[in-house]
Amino acid sequence: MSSRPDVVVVGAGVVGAACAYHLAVAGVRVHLLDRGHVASGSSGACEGNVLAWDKELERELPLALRSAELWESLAHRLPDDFEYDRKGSIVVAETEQELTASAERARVLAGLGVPGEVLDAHALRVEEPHSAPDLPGGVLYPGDAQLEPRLATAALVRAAVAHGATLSLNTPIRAVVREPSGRAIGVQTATELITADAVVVAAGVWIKQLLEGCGLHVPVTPRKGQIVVLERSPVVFRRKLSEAGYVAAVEGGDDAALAIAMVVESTQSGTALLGSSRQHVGFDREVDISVAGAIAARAARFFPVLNHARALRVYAGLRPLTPDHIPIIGPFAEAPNLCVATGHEGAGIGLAPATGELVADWYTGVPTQLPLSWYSPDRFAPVELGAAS
Amino acid sequence: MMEELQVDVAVVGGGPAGMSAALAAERAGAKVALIDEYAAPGGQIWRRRYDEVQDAAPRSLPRAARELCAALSDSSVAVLPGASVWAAASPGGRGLSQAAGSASVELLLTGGPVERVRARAVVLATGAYDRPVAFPGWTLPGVMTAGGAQALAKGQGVVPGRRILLAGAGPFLLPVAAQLMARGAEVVAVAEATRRRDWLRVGPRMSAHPDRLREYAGYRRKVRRIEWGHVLVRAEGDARVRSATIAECGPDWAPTGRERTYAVDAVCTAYGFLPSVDLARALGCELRGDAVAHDEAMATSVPGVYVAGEASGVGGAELAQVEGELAGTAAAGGAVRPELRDRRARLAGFAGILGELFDPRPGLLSLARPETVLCRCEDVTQGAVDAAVADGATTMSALKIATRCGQGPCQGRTCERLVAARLPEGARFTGRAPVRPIPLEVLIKTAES
Repeated sequence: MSSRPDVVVVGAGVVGAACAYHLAVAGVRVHLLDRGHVASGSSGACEGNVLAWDKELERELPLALRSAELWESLAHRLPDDFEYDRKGSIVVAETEQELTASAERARVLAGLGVPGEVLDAHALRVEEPHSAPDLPGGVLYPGDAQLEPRLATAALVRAAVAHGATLSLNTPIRAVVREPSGRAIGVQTATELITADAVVVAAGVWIKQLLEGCGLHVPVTPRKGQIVVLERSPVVFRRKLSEAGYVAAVEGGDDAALAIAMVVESTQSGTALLGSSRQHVGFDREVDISVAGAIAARAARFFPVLNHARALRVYAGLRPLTPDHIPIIGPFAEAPNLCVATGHEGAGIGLAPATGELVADWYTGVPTQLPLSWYSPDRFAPVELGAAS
Repeated sequence: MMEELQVDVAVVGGGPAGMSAALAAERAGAKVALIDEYAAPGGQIWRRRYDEVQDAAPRSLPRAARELCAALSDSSVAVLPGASVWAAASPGGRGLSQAAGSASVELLLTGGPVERVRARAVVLATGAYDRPVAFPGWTLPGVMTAGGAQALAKGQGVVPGRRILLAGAGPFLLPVAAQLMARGAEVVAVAEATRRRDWLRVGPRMSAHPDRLREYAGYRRKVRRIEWGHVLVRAEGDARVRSATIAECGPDWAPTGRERTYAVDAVCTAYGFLPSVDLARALGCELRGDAVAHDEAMATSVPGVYVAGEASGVGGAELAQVEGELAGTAAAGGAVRPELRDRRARLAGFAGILGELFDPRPGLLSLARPETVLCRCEDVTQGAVDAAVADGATTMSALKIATRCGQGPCQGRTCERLVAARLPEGARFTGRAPVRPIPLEVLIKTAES
C-alpha cells in the first residue's frame, strides 16, 4: 500500500464495487480487494435484473427503488457502457388464479410507487407474440430494467479507480483483524496487514466463513442458481419475462428442494438467457444438466418457440441467502467500524447501487436514504448479545 | 423418455483411431457403439465424398481406409452416424450430477435417434482441428484453414477459389495444395514457415521413416511453388479476399524481410492441429500440453475413459490406428499385444520429430494488430483483450467476463489459444456441458428422464 486507505472493501463483486464507487465519489480513500478478479463470484454468474415487482415490500422495495434510480443515472454517468436497458418486465400468469393474484399485487405496488399495467391474454400476446396461446395474461412493469452484470461491475470498479480508489485483485483475505475492544484494525492478506479506519466486507456467499474467523456471525448461506444461454437467433423477447410463481420459488423452501421458475430475456448481444433455479447444495458451482433441462422445459412451456432454440452454455452461480430474505447492510454493534454488505440473494445486481450509497453515507456520516437498522447484521444476533449493545 | 443404448464400450469419433478402437474392442468380446458426427465413419482424414456415404468401402479412400470401413460394416459394432456427444459423465470424474452412483459412463447425444449411451468404458477418439492463427484479414470471406478447404474438396468435390495461396508449416500443406490443384485450382504459392536447413537438421532421424519421405516426395513433385521461410502476414479485400501478402520470416517465424503480394481469391492456412479435448475436459480428464494425458494403455486420468488418436497428441492416421487398437482392447478388458506398444512408440517418435520442426513458434503471435479480431464469434479484438489484461484480468474466466471472448457458438475452440497468448501464463477456458450447442428439446429431455 502506498498510503493508508480510509476504508478497505473486501470483494469486487457488484456490491463491493458499488460500495467502493460511492465511497470514492464521496472523497474517501478506498482500497478494494478481491481474492479473484472483478465479478468472479456470483456477479459473474447471474442475469442482471433491476426489478421492483418481486421485492419484499417493507424493507427491500425501498432499496430496490432507490437502486433503480441510481442505475438509471449511472448508465448516463459512467464512461463504460454496460448495456443498461429499461425495457420493462412482464410477470406472466399461468392460470386465471395467478392472474388475479398478480393484478392484486400490481395494485398494491402501484400504491408504493411501482406502476404496472395488467395485460389480458390478447394484450400479453401483443407485447410478446411468442407467448403460449393458453396463457391468460400478466402484468407489465415498465420501470424494470436489465443490464449486463459483468460489464456493470467492471464499470463501477473502473469509475471507483478513476475517483482515486486502489485495487488489488487475486488477493485473498486471511482474516479481518479486530482490536480487543472489537473494532476492526484492517485485513490480513498473505503478505501484509492492511489497516484502515473502517472495513467493508462484501464477500457475498463467502462472508460467513470469513467473519467467523474474527468472531462475528453473518447467517448467509449459498443458494445455487443456473442459467441457460441460447445461441443468437432471430427470436427476440422485448421485455424481461418472469412467471408469477417466481416470488414463491425464491421465498419458498429453505430446504434442499429444487425450485424452478421461468425467467426469460433477450440480451443486447443477441442471445437469450433462461432461468431460474434455486437449490441448496453448499458451495458446489458445477452445472447440473438435468436442472438446466428443467429450466428449459419451464421456459418452453411459456414460450413454445424455444423448443426450436439452441442452448449454447449453462452456468451456475451462488446466491447469498439470508434467513429473512432481506440483505444485510451496516456495522455490527460490537465492531462499529466493520460494515457488511451482502445477502442480496438473486437481487444483488438490482440492489447494489443503493447498498453502496448506504455504506458510503454510513461512513461519511451523511443521513442515510433509508434506515440502516432495517438491514443491520445485529438483527440475527442471539437476544442476550443484542441486549448488550 | 430418452432413446437409450447400453454397451460395454462406447467410442466417440469415427476416424482412424475410433474405427480401430471399435473393432479392437469387438474382437476382445465387447458390445460396442461407435458415435460419429459425420454421415459415415472415416473422420476428417478419410472423409468420404457425399455420394459415397452409404458405401461399405468407399472407392475414393486409400486402401487402409477401405479395409477398415469394410471391416466395420461386417462387424457387430453399432455405428451411430450424424450424432454429437454434447455431455458426458463418469463415476470417477465430473460431469452430469445425475450419473453419481452409477457404475457406467454416460454420454448424451444429439442428432440421431439414440439420445443416451451408457457404457462400461469410453474411448475418446475425437480427433483434432486446424490451429487458428490470427493475422490481419483472417476473418475475410475466402480465408480459411487448409482443413476446411480439404473438407470441401474431399466431401463435396469443390474448391474455395480459383487462385489460392496456402501458408503454414509442415506436411499438411502439400497434400492439400495437390488436392486443390487436382480439382482445377491454381496454387499461386505455398508459404512454408520453416527453411530447408531446418529439415536437414532432423534428416537423420527422419530416415527411419522412408514411407513418409516417399509420400512427401510425391507431393513435392506436384507442388513446385514453395516459398521457404515465409509466413502470411495479411489478407486484404473488401467483401472477400483479393490479395495475400507473405514475408520472409526469422527462426521464430516473425516476419522480418521482404514482402510479396499475390492476387488471390482464396487463402488457406495450415499451422498444424489442435487436439479436440472438449469432451475429455467435461469429463475431468487431465491434459498434458494441448492433448489428453494418458498412460501406455491409453487410459486417461478418469477411470473407464480412454483416449486414442489426435486427441491424445497429433501424430497422423497410422499412429491413430495403433492407439485405437490399444485403447479399444484396454477398454474391453482384453490383452494387448506387446509389439503394438512398440509400434506406437516408433510412430510417436516420428510425430515428435514433426512437432519439433513444425509446432508453431512465437513469432506468429506478432502478426495480429490491436484491431485484429481474436474471438470471431463475439467480435473481440486483440486490443480489447489487451485492455482487459491491463485492467487486471489474469485468468481466462476474467477475460471472458470482461470481454465476452469465448462465449459464442464455437464455445471458445477457435479463440482459446489466441486469447490465452495475451496472458503471461498459458491458460484454458473451462470445459463443460454442453460441449456442442444443442436443441432445447434435447436439453429438456434430460429433466424428464
